[in-house]
This record gives sequence, structure tokens and C-alpha cells, in this order.
Amino acid sequence: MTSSLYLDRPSALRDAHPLCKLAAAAAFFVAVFSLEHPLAIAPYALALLLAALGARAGPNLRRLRALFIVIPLGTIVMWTFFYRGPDAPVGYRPSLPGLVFGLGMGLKLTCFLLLNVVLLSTTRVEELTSAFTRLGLPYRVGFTLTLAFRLVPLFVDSAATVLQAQRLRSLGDEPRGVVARLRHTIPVIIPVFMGALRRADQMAIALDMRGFSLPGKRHALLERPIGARDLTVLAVALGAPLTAYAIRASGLGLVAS
Amino acid sequence: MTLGPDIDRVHSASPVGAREPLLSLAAVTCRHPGAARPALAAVDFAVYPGEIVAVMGHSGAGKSTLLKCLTGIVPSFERATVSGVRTAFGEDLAALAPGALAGRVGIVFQDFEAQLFSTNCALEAGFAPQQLGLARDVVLARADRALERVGLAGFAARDPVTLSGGEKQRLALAGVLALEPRVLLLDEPTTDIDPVGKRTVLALLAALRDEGIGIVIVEHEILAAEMADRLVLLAEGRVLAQGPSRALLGNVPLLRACGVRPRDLDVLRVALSLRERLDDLGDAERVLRDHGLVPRGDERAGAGGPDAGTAAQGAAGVRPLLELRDVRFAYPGGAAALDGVSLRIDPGELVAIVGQNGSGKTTLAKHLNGLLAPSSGEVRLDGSDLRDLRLGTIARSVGFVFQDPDHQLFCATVEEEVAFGARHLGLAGEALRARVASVLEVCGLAARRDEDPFLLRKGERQRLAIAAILVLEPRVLILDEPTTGLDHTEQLAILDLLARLHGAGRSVVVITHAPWLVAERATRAVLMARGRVLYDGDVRGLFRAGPALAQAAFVLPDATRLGLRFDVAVRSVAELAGRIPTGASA
Repeated sequence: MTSSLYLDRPSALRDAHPLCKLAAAAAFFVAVFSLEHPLAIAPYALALLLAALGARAGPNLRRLRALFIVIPLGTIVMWTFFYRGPDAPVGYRPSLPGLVFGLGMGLKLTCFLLLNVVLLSTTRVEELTSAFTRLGLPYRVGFTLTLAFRLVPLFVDSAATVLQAQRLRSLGDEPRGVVARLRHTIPVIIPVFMGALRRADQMAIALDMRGFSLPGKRHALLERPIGARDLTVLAVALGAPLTAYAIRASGLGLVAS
Repeated sequence: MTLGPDIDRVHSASPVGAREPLLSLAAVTCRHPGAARPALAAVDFAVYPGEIVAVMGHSGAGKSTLLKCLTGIVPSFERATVSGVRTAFGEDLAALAPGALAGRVGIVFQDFEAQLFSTNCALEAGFAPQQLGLARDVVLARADRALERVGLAGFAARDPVTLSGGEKQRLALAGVLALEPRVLLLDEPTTDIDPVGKRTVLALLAALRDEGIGIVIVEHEILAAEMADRLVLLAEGRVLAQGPSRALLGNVPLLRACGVRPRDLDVLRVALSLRERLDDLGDAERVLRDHGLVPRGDERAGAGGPDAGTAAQGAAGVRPLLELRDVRFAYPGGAAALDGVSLRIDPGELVAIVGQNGSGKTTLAKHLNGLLAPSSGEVRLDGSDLRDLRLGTIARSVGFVFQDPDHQLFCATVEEEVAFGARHLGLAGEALRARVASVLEVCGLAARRDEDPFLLRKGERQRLAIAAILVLEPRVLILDEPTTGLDHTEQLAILDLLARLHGAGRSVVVITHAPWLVAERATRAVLMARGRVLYDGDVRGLFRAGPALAQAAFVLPDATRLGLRFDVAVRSVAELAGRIPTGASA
């Protein structure tokens, strides 16, 4: 059992060049970011959902289902009450423009989540490092940028074990009240935090002893040339921001102008 | 430290020859800020090409610090004042950055998991040679060879997170072997590996020595020292003795004084006052027969029947405390971790669950306390299906101590740590204080009640983890590898504690790799392989369960194996010596 999102399942996206996937992700991000209206964003959400299913990332969608529910719903509720547009009511009352805007924001965040699921389900951390290096970043910088992707799953696994240990000690008691619940997290946070510090320290030493600080060029182990299929993926992805630009220019992409 | 007259006669020795040392320390003293005594005090040490040096001693004796001083990790990464002369390949180590030794020195740390950060085993093994700027094909070839050498051929595409502890430890070793270093420094490299795996790793080290690599191995277990050329014994930061391994390994009092469990055959030699060396079981059998020191059989033991006082499984009229019925379980996307396991834990038993890495021991234990639920089959506590019980209800009856005590420690003092669980039982005031004081006393931690748990030694932290569960007064206590990574003195302290708890009527279940622990302490043994129970019964019966032992690749302790050569099933050296007639002459 691993907390890493990468799934080593054969798919066109898994086999696509990481540089192209990174560029495609950036293109989709720009496209979705530039739009507000839910009807304009919905096709992108659908496309990303299909991409996730095509990449056989179903297990990750299931694992993160709570995020896919809580984040959009919370966003919709918040904007429904707090939207401040030209046609919004005075005071913090629910409004239709707020609801529409909230739906757009909820879909937007869903798209960003889907984007991450697709990218991380189909791309190894080492491939991301390699892609950053191809973009001109020094190897050490690229490695460090992707370090979080390496460490977070380890910390999540460690936290799961600590949680099991502490639930047994506290007899599975679930406290009532915010303060009690916050206090309840201390037995988990401290061992995880201490373990994370120790591990980060050990990892830094281990990296250095394995030559990480040596100067010179590294040859990527997963490197391969960009092929016709990669260019196709890239071309399709680049269509996303262009279409978004056209929608926005037509005035359909925004909730209010 | 008073070591006695035998120990005082041990002479220091070093293999001074014409060769230049690969790494060396001369009169090196290392002191960490605020420490009461130096971690190393005026230590002389060297490792030469083509030799294995074993470093042993109590926890806190300075073994890991020695490795860190040899590589410059101290003081480059850890704040400490270091004096004396340190050299690496003839150069002054103080003038080199630690990373400058990469490619020439490979080091595997005690916390091997912190060394793993790639998404598959091939990439992990290839990480270090990649840093040397080698061509991709060369890197991958080195990675493949390193994986093969540590017994992980075929694991190239596996995610390291999915490996067992022992497999991860071997992967960490592969990660540095791929560097093709001239010196290999290993800090307890086999703690999580089962006995067969340990022998595989040690055989690999012997092969590397033959290739001219210098190896320094820090270990608590004697197995590594047996194949080492030299043994260095540290005590409180000083070299107590160093010399040829064969000479020092026979010094039983010295080893015990350094927290090392001596070889069974040496303990027997001392017990019988034999003058001959007992290098292996063949030697020992011949010497005993030559002297007429033949152990006598015993109807109970010789026939492999249950011991007197041993709770035989499924005794008539005894209601099981815990019972597994045809339990099957598989982790998501994985093969069956438990494959039709049926087992019962009766009141007052001390059960040892043994088996190779990945055999399903920990998975089984997590079913006993509801942390995992079976895919099919059922687990019953006092007759009730665990699925019908709240975790809190289960935890009051079944205590579970995780392998790493640091997973559960978080309080500012030892006393608060123990009190945490008791408060959830609703205890307060005098009742709470009395319960905590009693548990601290039982666990030998009463004098340390006001100390910070994180500043305790590992053996003490392990006892604290047990105390933190004991305070809940569970009827059965399950411990996952409670002696791993501890020196022998600490191991005995843990086992004595478990014996006291068992003696007081509590059921204890221990998951372990240590054959001697099973033989000497358990009342019942459960042998597992590939998710199945191959043997479940009294310990002496296990000794004669040849096919199951072979299938699970479980190696019995030397004392037991020697006894079996005389058709006597013994659990310890003391029992073997006790079965030899006193009239015989040595």
C-alpha cells in the first residue's frame, strides 16, 4: 500500500513525454483559470475527467473523493453568500449571480484537482525532475522542487501509523468540541513532526553521501525523445487556452463584466 | 566500568601491515554540545582494503558516531567538536566535504527508510551512480547488478513503499553498492531482515571483501562479527578491546559486558569449562562426544511433547481470548497477505509468531486488535466478532505495541506519556497516580518519570511504549518486533518485563525474528510463511517440525540444533549444559 499518487498502469498519457504532460497541464491551467462561467468551464472539467479515466486513474479519484466533494461544495456555498458583483444583493445574502459564480469557482477548483490527479497518476517524480531539467533548471533545483511529491506520501504513511497507535491508546475516543478536537491532534502531530524532522535530516545526509552535491551533468534514467504522439498531446492541450481565449473574447466565459 | 579480571587481560590489537588504511581515526574525540561525556574519546580506528571490521557495544557506546566521524558527517551535518586526526584515502578528512567521498564510500544508515526516495527499486539503486554523471546504460546496469546482489532481482519495477522492512533494508544496501565504493559503512544493516535474509546479506559482504572492499559493520547481533576479520568493542565512547574476531568472540564475559549476546557454542564451552574451540556445530558435537559429555534425553522434551505448564492450544474447557477463523486478507492491489489463518490465543500464553519478512506476521497481529478487518473469515474477542466491537472496547482488552516506539511518544515527560491512556479510562487524581506509578515500577522507569521521552535510549523508549499500553491493563499484549535494534542488555530487560507480565497471568503475543527469543521465552510458537500458518504448537515441537522449518526457512538457535544432534530438544544453552551429566570430564 502506498500513498503516492503515481499508478504504473499502461495508458497513452502515462507513456507521453513528461515535458509534454507538464506543458499540457500548464495549458489547461491557463485555460481554466481565465474563465468564470460554469458552462464555459464544464467542458474542460469533462475533458479532464475523461483524461483521468483514460489514464486509469480511477483509484486516485476514489481516494481523493472527499476533496472532490468538500472543496467544490464549500466554494459554491461561500460564493453564493459572499459574491460581490454589480448585480449582487447588498449584505451577505444568497444570490443567483453568487451561485453561478460559485459553481464556476467550484468547477475551476475541481479542474485543478483533476489536473493534478491526471499528471501525478501518470508521471513519476523522477520524470518531473527530468522535465524541469529539460526546461533549463539546474538538476538540484529540479530535484528539490519535486522533493515534496516524494516526501508527502511518506509523511502520510507515517501519519497513518501514528494515528493507528494513538487511537489504540486513547481507546478510539472522539472528543467533542473544536478545542478538544484540536488537542486530540497533538498526539498525532508531534510524533509525525518529530519523525519528519529526523527523516529530512537523514535524507539530506543520505543524498550528500550518494553524490547529490557533486558537480556535473546527470543523465536522466527515464529520458527518451519526444515523438509524434507527444506532439499530438501537446497540440490538443494547446487548443485549450486558445479556445478559452475565444470564449472569453466572445463574452461568454465571464459571469459579469 | 568494572569488567573483571578476564576482561582486563584482553589486549588491543590492530592489523598493522604495509597497506595504507582506506579510512582512519587517530586519537579522535567527539563531543556533542551539552553532552555529559564525549561520544568518542581518544579513539584509534582504521579500515583496510579487503577486510571486514565489526563494531559492537552497548546502545550509546559511540558506534554510529564512529561511522559519522569516519565520513565527516560529524561535524559537517551534526554539531559536535571533533579533535584528532581523520584521514580518507590518505587525505585529511577535515579538508574534504562529505559529498566528496561519494563514489568511494558507501554508507547505509540505521534509519534505512530515510535513504529511500525513488518510485521504483531500479531508480533507487540507480540514484547514486546517476549522481556520478555516468552514462544511462552504465547506471542501469549497475542498478540491476546491485539489486541482484542483495537478492532483489525481479524487484526493479516495485515501489519501495510496498516492500517489507527487510526488503527495504536490502534496497538501501543496493543503493550504495551501485556506487561501487571502496569502503562500505553499514550501521545495523540487518535489523529488520529475517535470519535467512541476514545470512544472504552477510554472504554478500564476504564476497565484497574478497573483491578488496573494506567494510565496517556496526551490529548488535553476533552473526556479523562471526564473519568479520576484526572486532572492535566500544564502551562509553572508548575502544574497550579490538583484535581478531575469532579471539574476542570467545570472551563471553567481555561480550556480555559490552551488551553483546555471545555465541551459544562459546557460552556452552565456558559452562562446561572446555579448552577446545567450538567453531561450529560439527566441532561442538565431536568435542562433546570425545569427552563423553552427551546430553541425556527427557521423555517430555525428547519426544517433543508440550512443556509442563505450557498452555497447549485449544485445551479442553479453556475459552479462547482471541480467535481467528479461516481469516483471509489482501492489501489493495496485492497478493493474499493472510490465506486461511485459524488461530487462538488462550489466557496466560506467551506466544511467539515467527516467519520470514513478508510472511504475514504483522498483518496477522493487526487483525487481532481490529486495525485490519479480514476480507473473509472472522476474528473473535471473548466470543464476540471484532466487527461488532468499537475500537475502544477492543483496545481495553488487546494492547498493541508498534515496532517503532517513536510512533506513539509525544508527551513532555515519561510520567505524562503513561498517564495519557489512563486518563481515557476515566482515571484521575490518586487512582491515576497510583496506576501510573505501578506501571512505571513494573517497567523499570520509575526513576526516569520526569525525563523527556525523546531523550531516552531506544531500549528505554521501547519499555515506555509498553508502559503506555500496559496502563490500559489489557488482557493480551501484542508486541511487534520489540527487541529489534536493541543491544542484548536492553533485549533482556524487555524480555524480563514480558516474563513478569506473563507470570502475572497476562497473555503476551510477540512477533519476532529472533530464534533464541522463541526458543527460550515462548510457551507456544506460530510459524508463518506466505500468509499461512505452517506450525502452531509448543516450542519443543517446533524444534522437530523439520519440513515446516525448512519451508519457512527458519533457523533454530545453535544450542537447540546441537541438542538435536543428540536427539534432545533443548531451549537454551543452560538447559543443554544442565542435561550433560556432571561426572563427565572435560
